Amino acid sequence: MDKVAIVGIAQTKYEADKIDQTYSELVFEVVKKLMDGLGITKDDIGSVVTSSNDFNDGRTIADMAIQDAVGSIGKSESRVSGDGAFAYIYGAMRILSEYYDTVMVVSHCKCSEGDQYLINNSIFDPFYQRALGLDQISAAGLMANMYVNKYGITEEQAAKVVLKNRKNALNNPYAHLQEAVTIEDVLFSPMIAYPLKELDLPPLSDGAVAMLLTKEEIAKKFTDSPVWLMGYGSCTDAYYLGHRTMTDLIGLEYAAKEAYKMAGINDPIREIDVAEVYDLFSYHELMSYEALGFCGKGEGGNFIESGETEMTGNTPVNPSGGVLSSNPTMANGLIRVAEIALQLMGKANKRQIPNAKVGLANGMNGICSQGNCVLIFGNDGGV
Amino acid sequence: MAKHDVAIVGIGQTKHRSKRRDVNIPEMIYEAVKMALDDVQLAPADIDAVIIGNMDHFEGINFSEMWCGIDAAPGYLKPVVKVATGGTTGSSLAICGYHNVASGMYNKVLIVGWEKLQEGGATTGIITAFDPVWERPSLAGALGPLALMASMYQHKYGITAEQAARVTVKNRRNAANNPFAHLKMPDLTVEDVMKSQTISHPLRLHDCCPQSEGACAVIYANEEETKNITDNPAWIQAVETAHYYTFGTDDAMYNLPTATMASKKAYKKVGITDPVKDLDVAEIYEPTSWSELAWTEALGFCKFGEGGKLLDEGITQMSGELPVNPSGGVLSTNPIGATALIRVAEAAIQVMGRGDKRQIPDVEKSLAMGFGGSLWTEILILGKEPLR
Amino acid sequence: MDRNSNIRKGTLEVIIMSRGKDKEKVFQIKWKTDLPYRYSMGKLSVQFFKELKENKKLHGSKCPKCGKVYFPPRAVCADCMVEMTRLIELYDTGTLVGFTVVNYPFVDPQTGGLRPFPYGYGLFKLDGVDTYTMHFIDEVDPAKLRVGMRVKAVFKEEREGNLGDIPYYEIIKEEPKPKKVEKMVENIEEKVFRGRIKVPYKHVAGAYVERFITEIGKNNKIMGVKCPKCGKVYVPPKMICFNCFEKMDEWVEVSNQGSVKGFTVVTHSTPVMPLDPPFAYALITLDGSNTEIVHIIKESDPKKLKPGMRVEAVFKDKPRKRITDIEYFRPI
Repeated sequence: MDKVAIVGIAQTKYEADKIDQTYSELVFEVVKKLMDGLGITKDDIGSVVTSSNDFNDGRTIADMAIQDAVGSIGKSESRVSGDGAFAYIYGAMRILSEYYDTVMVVSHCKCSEGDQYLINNSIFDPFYQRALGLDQISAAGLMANMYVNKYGITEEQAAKVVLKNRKNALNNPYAHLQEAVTIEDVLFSPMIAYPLKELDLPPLSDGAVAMLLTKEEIAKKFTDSPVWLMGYGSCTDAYYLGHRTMTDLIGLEYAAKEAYKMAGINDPIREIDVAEVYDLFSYHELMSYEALGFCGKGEGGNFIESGETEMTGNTPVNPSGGVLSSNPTMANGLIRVAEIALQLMGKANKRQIPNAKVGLANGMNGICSQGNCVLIFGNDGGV
Repeated sequence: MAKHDVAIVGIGQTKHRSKRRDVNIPEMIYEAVKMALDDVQLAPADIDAVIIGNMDHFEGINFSEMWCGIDAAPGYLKPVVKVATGGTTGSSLAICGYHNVASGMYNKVLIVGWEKLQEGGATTGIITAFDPVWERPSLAGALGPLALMASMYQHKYGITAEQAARVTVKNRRNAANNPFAHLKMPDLTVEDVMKSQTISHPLRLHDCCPQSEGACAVIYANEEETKNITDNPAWIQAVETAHYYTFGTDDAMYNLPTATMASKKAYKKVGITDPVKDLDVAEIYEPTSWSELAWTEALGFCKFGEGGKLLDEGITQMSGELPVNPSGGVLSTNPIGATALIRVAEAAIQVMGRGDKRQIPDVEKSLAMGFGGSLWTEILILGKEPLR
Repeated sequence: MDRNSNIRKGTLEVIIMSRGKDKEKVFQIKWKTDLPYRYSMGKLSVQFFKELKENKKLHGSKCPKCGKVYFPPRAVCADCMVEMTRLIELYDTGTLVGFTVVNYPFVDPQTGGLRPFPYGYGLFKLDGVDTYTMHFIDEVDPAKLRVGMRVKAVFKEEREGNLGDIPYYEIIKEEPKPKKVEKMVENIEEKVFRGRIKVPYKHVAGAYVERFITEIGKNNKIMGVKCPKCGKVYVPPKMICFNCFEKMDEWVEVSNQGSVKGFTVVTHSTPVMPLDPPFAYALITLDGSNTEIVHIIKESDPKKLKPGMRVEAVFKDKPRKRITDIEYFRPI
């Protein structure tokens, strides 16, 4: 496969309410950080791909608000209406098609400006689902409970995910929630959507992330440690909840298989040094282990108990703290990509996994992993 | 994977109408998708990825691609992605599809643009595209700013309302040859247009595009797959986009600078020096009759201020040197999420020679234009051969 | 100028809204969207509206690098990619560059109701500003308007600190320009603009949804369709089997009773819930169906629910053309 590199990354601190920033200011913060960090101007950027969501921003054509901030004058800027990981791969395709040499990918999201329940309820069709009042949380409860009933996962096992990720977030200066929790904190937090308790669910955050992609020939002009795309897969499960496979993330599973094939990976837990998965809720990370082939079906609970996914384990998962620590919904997938890129560049500071050469990131669209995008990256030592 | 050539091999459209009372959203989209698949005799399983888009707040459905990509398109267990950029949605979808195939990631991709405008209302939806603090309180949808643009254009160059009316007459008469067009008016006269009610001075009712409901589906394939599918594809030679400031009024844009920027890039890539000579047909995005006059200038078909003259000399008529909008254009059919994709589909139909009564003879190269947002432009150039 | 009169519902609306031929009744599912938003305005806009409310003054932002003056004020100069932190006081006069009179009805998403029309709408270049701006003007006869006319902002007596404080610009004769003053942004409390996206949607249901909803409402019967290729019975029904991508034409009646495949009990309350929480959502396999229907079980204790248990549909007495005409399921 032709190569496409990530050469630079910028993130904002994720927090509950960036009330004094408009979307334009929020995006300009990361774009400026990115450009200053790389020593480039907007003329060095061939094209821009952004990711945002109209319902979330309260604005149709949500990318119209950030044209000034991404330097679109006279330039091609296009927008994926969905999770940032999908914007990443579209940006990468723009380079692999040999049309552009450099592409900036930006994703922004503010959960503070709208009513997330209503925004998520609008994902459901107006004929059979919306009037029931469904939203992301009730669907998550349904999925978690069906997973538990099929495989006998315990709430302690799920709580271990929260423990791990919230502890990891202490090493991540960008993370929203910067406080460790105990098992008791999780188990005794209020029940929201059985069996999900408050701490099994993520916060709501504001933030933005940007990165620069370049073609192979010029990558080393920008950085000594470019991060290369090795594999990609994308897959969508059914839409109506009654048609979904609720006990296993089959969309994620198929997407991962495609990505592994492209990257030449046969044994994920041996060949992947670090993973940033989209942990929408605690049990979801366990389901992701299984779907990604880190462990067998129904073994997610045992797998976290084995310590393999801790910072000190063989396949650390979510050293950044994951979505359970920072949740600017539309930007989550691109943040996963950014965090893996930082790991592979050796720039992850306190959350660095030593000698990380190959990493996995995944993004999600729709309700509870209906749409999935799995990306495998490698640094010079990993490809 | 090196760069691949990308061809449009199959096309499907619904018969666009003001309100489809007989089908709901996925059922309507399915019509176009099925037509495209049948067009090239591909099975749903043959499609590698689905790229589908509309404007969310028009129908009030968030992540609409998660619903329609599964229930109206063969997206189950496949990649489904939405690209949505307002009026340019259709062309952005077309361009996204191009990169999906040209990059080598996918071999056969289905692109779908759709809109069911009457379920929410286009003007209301368009207002939500603008800044809530500064623009929404006074904004009257797209027609308000388009009327202002027409007003400035008229003032600057002395274009008359009759010249603008002649655009509508041309396009809606052209539409009578297009079985999919919404407003077919083979007997429309300049007088009819001039007598119609003034909606927003100087725009009369018949100077404005309709609100339509419909879908358009296009299938792309790379050079290897195309050999197995059809011997009559339309090859995508250039895809260019130009954007501008956040506020649509930061520049007085009656002459659409982004159209000049994007078309210049596209012409350079393909080696076009004189668009009227080098292009055989153009499907441009004219939301009002005045816009077509202004944008033929911006696209370099004539000098600034001479759009009216270009039309009056017959150059953009069906029989002229560079026919513009043989399909009837946006003035005849406007399901917003699909409109720019219909321009691409119609430009492809011309290259393929499948235009029947609206076919322009001997088309080698065609141009498709998308317009929308804070006055952005996207240009695609299609041809009988891939660009080498 | 009284813009609140003149809401015309007659011929104009008919022409625009129903360009289709017939107007027979169509089965639609209605959904009144009312999404509240708390839009951050940014420090410059907050300062702008403070100056507008307290001092009847207009301000723009000026790029420190290229000197371009922008109205409305914003944080980024797009040409230079540089942040603008200073407001510059502007004149309240300008020149009309384009104009129109909006003469058609539409729903304003901020209110969910019709915006009064006709109204004059102009594009102006405010004196000293390098960008253009659009706003209301106080003239509804286009014959009385000309490009090049001078305009001046009109301020409300009682101002609230939003754009409505300038109800319109009026046409004036030329006036001498006052002196400009540059102002620094001061630290003031952050503020937001409370907006809404309020739209009454009407979704055409299509034949499948229509029959399903009609049967549950009128006859308390639950219908599904069967795929000709894979034989799966889908409840609720839809046109396409997403697995086979085939149209389904065979209608099947299924039982009002079934087994629970999975459930959750929710305690959070949202404006769109049909019942007061806590209650259960469940996936239910009705006898005779191959897919699950997602619905509500009126049970608040998760210990009383388990997969495999039997439930039965309870129908609403007064059906309202919604999925909630099956009001909920109850354990049997």
